[in-house]
Amino acid sequence: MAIPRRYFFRLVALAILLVFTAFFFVPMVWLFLAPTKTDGQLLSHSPFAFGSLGTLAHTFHRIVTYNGDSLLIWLKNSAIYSFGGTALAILAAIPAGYGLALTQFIGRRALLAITLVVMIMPATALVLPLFLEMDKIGLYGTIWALILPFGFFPFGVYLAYIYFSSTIPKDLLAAARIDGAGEWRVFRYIALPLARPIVALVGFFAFVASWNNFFLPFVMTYDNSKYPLQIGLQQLIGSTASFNPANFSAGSSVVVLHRPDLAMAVIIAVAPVLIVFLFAQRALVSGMLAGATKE
Amino acid sequence: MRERPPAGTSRTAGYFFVALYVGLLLLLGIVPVVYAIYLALSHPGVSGGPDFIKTFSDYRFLPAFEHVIQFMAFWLVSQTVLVVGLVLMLHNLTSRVGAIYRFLFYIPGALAGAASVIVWLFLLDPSASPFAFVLHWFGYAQFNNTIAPGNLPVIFALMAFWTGAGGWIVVMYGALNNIPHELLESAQMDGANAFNTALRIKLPLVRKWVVYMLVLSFAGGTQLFVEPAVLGTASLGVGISKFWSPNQLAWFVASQYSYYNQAAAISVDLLVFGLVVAALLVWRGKLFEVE
Amino acid sequence: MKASISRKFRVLPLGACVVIAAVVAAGTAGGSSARPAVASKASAAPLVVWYDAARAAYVKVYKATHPHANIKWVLYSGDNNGDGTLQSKFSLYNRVGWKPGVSPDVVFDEENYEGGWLGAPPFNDLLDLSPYVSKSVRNNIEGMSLCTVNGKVVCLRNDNAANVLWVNTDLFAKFFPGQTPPTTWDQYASDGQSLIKSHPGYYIGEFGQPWDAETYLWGNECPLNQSIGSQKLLSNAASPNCTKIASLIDSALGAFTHNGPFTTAWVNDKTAQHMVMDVGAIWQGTAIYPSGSGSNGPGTNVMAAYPTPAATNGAHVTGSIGGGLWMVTSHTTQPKAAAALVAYMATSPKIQSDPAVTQGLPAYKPDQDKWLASLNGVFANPDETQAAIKQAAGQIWGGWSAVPWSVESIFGNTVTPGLVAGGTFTAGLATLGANIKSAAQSAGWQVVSNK
Repeated sequence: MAIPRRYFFRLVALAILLVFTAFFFVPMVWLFLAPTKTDGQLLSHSPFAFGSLGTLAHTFHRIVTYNGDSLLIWLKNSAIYSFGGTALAILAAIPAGYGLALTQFIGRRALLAITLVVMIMPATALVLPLFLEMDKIGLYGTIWALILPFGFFPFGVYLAYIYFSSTIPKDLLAAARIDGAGEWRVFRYIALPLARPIVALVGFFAFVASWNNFFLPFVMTYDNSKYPLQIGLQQLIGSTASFNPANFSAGSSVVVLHRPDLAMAVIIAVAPVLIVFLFAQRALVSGMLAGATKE
Repeated sequence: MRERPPAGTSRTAGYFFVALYVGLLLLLGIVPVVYAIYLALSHPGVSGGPDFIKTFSDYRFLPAFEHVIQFMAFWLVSQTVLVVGLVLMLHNLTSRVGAIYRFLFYIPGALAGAASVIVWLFLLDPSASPFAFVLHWFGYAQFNNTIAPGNLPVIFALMAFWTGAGGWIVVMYGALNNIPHELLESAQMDGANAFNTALRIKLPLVRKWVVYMLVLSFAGGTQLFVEPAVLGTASLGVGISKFWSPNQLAWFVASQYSYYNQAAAISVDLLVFGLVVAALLVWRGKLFEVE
Repeated sequence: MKASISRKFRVLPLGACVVIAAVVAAGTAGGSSARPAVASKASAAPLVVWYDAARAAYVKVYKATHPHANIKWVLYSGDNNGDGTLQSKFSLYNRVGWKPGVSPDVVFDEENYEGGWLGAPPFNDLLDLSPYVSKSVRNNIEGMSLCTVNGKVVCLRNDNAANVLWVNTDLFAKFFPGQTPPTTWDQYASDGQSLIKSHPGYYIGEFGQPWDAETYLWGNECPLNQSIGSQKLLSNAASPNCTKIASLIDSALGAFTHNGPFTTAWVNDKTAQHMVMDVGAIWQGTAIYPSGSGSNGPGTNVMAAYPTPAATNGAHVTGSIGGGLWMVTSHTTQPKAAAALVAYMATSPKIQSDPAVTQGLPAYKPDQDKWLASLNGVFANPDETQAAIKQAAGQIWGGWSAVPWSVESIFGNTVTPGLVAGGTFTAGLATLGANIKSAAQSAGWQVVSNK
């Protein structure tokens, strides 16, 4: 007897969902289990085997202290660039989105259009021109060469624009203005209190974009001690035996990295973003959706 | 449709609100582009001709563009189909179960760039991968087989999908949640089953988000740099050159031969390309609110 | 109307002010630090040395023997496999200025061609070491042809990476009883053919690695990458010195493994125990073949080194894979100290003769005997092995030049995929020749196929 059509489709759907769950999630499981195993165990045992806590501690210690605590220095640098850039992005994008949405001035529509265009254009095409400009004005090698570009966030402006134009009741604004409130007061006392979701949303996107940015820091950092984590990770690959044959010619007394060390480094590098992700899922939905409610 | 603000609203206050952003826009958007154009135009290329033309005749230019076009074709099509399909499927489940799936799909998004490539270095190696059986089924005995040049656009599309899809699923799920219940109920009462509801009602209402996803993914895709660069280094350059993507080529030319002016020209080429597409989308596509 | 405009908006919008102020402040502060400091304060700056992971032991020795040296040690990727880090960085410094104490004075480079890349136009960033390192020392370093660019000595070789024929004496005795390892490439190929028939799954060499050209073409005097003048390249893939060896290898393709010695497959398949012979550099042998952990090797006192077969044209030369370069940048403010450090690294027995510190044969001849003696417990036929290694070290063909492109990189990008898919070396040779030509012309060189 054939399965009723309804259940058949349900089963197919379930199978598809499970396949995709495996695709998305199995690598993460593998990643978190990798540092608990030695290099040999990683290759010979099952990907889901748990090694030992001792190996985990050993791996952690080795990668964190590698080359004079480089990983921690890079972590610190990433934090500075990302938090600085995110703060600047919020500071610039929220008022700008508000201004574009709820005030009127000559050039407003042009600015909005330019914002859109810049938002869609590939940002990394700007990196080399940015480098040349930063060099010309003498900012190259300073943290501003990274924080300023990270703070320039047209996507955030557009999000804020959508948000403010759809969540602030127009009559409320009109009433406040008629009552004689200056624009600043309107912004401060009506818009800002309602802006929490969009601040969280813009902050989330800005932070993730800054933390994960590779090309800009690649070009803009002068000194190895100023690298953010993304660049540092790439350097670590060169120190890993399995990816750099030259490391096989190291004398027996040299500490050379192996795959589990690299996996541990990846975990440390993504931990902050992962934490932000865990908390941001709700903000993502509520923030983005505010713009859709008025459709 | 946007209304005019009531009379009495200040016409200059707006400048105050956008001032910081405009300052950044000038400093980091307009000025670099102008400077790059100036550099590319003012310095003759190696052969004496304008750098823009020399770029196109470099033997590595066309292959790099082909690579990125192929990558984007695979990625955009599959991401659109799969994200929409998955989100519609998830929407039919109870919210608890759906939330769990969404979370699992979304987590890889925390890895980007070098971090995700490192994970994929293992995933693509038949000797070390948790998906080894899949690779063996394709006939790949070794890492070098998996990353054969013909597979690269698909591999990068997979990586991009792996990190990006989850976030879009979350967003579109939220959009689907906003569909008024009455609409769905009346459709059900009219006899529509889940499939038809999805197709006729849900899909058109998330169209806007699908388009946003396409546009933003397109913008991101043309910038492809980290993934081929890191995969190339770790795979000892087998089949992946240092100039696999146009962005890489620009950087390669700038750094390997100290030809910054030629790199400025390539950057301007990329910018113009992106600008034209963006402008088309904004003005002709009428996708974005510009009211 | 005017009354509704708050007082705050009469002045220039605050935001724009903030940005301008920040830029000006940072600009004046950053401006002076981004430009090179005047030489008067230079001696106070530390000597900046860039080293790779495998040289960490060298650093340790240096620190122990020079406790008062003012040196900033910086670990970097080593520019492995031509990843371009050095070119990127040097280009940047050339653009924004070299800064004592920040930009490197000394660099160890794993990529052997880069003397000709960084020491020639448009970079010209390497110091000519001839005034600083005595001629007698330089003449005792082998392989210096890769460090001599346009008449200048732009680097010192670290280890001698000449190719030898590694032989698994047990397997060879078993499969080729009564024979001696091949002395010609014809013999080598026919050994491979008989191995395919009698013992499939065993190999005479590796194939499909990015350094196949250095393994098989260099040692046959193949004129594929030979600089014959300033920015003039002789490249002729159709030369019999190239085509003969390619077709010999093609005739025994099944006897070559595609598993690279640094891949997971090599370990998982225990490939090291299936290599009857293997053409490889001295350091490759010492890295791979003893029963080092994780290499699944054939054990100690099994492998022995023999000279590579004589070239197809009869010459007694060999190729070279790797070896590393010690370079001093031309922008250093302490050339004497930098050159002294580099000379120490390349010649000191504390570093070069100690196998715990350096795993390759020292390029500096006086240090070689002591290092070779350490191989005694590791390889079979120790006396012959050491003699073969020493002989190979002096036979590296000088016709493979330091150029502004990485042959390994080009080979890996364009030829290896075809080989891994089962293609022939002959076809790959044509591809390689075409791509070297394109790369050379892109770099502004003239390419000729006859001298």
